[in-house]
Amino acid sequence: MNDPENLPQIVAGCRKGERQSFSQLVDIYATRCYSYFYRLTGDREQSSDMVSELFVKLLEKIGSYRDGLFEAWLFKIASNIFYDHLRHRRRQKKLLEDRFLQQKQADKGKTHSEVEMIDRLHIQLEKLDRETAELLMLRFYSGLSFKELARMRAEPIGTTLSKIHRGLKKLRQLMENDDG
Amino acid sequence: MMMANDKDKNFDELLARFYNEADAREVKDDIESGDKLLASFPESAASAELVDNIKAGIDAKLARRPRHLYYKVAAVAAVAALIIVIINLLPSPLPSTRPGEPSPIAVAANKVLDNGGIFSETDADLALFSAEFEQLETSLSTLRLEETANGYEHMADSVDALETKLIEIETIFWKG
Repeated sequence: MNDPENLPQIVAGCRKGERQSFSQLVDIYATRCYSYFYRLTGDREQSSDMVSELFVKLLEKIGSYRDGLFEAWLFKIASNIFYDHLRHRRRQKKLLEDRFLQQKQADKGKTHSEVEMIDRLHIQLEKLDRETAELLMLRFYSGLSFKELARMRAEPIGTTLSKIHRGLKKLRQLMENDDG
Repeated sequence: MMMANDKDKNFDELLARFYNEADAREVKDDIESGDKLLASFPESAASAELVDNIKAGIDAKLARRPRHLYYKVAAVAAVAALIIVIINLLPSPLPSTRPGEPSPIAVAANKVLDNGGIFSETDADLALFSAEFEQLETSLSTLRLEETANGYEHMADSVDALETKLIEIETIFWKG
């Protein structure tokens, strides 16, 4: 029923305003998009707000979707929402730095299994620059190929490949250092 | 969760474009290890409540949309019908129109009424109706100029009424 192989039919139904089709899209993409936002923000409430905003924009813009990979179109909207959130967050940067430091202090006395509950992955992603972290999560949750990502980001494929390689390598090193 | 590189069917070819054999192997290992690392963390699933709220929000917006659209379509149809009535009441054809040919305004008005998918629910149709509003306004302006240039003062009242109605409809359109 929610088989992604039926995605073209589901999207066509959405363009006609069919409720059932929108419902199917939510079922297919809600968790992936929520995870994408959550990994980048570490905040469940904000991630819920952002994924809700994403589907509102999907409803508003579905008429403009014509051809091409649906995931690329959808995650482009998601990426824009994340960067809007980032711009808003920069205005509250001091508050967030304090919260991160408080979290770090709180983590020191804990075991690894306890820290994992606080989401180690997000903590390490925070140590990467925002663009690299977002690109890694975009690639992971959208499932897009290097070529499709490069096209979405309007950059050469070699640049996208290089950024992802460096980002994943750095992330792995951060995780290994955190273990050690 | 699908591994992110499932779609990179020609990954080796891609790497060969940018790296020598040894470096390509290393880059490939780094990327595949990174993908496995990401996949090893449990997914943060959207709660059932969140999913239900999203669906309810979409349902509410879809439910509102047809009423607005029908209202706007009715407004456009009303002005188009008014134009056709006025055209039919005009005593003589417009000088810019060849005998037997419909006037530009009648063509525009009929086009609106004949437009397929009039009860469609896509934004593309709303954009089309907006464009046709503009076309009707342009035709009206043309009619005004011809009326003044050729002394068709007897058309003035009809054109005034049409213009007033068009402005009124347009105001309601954008308010809706």
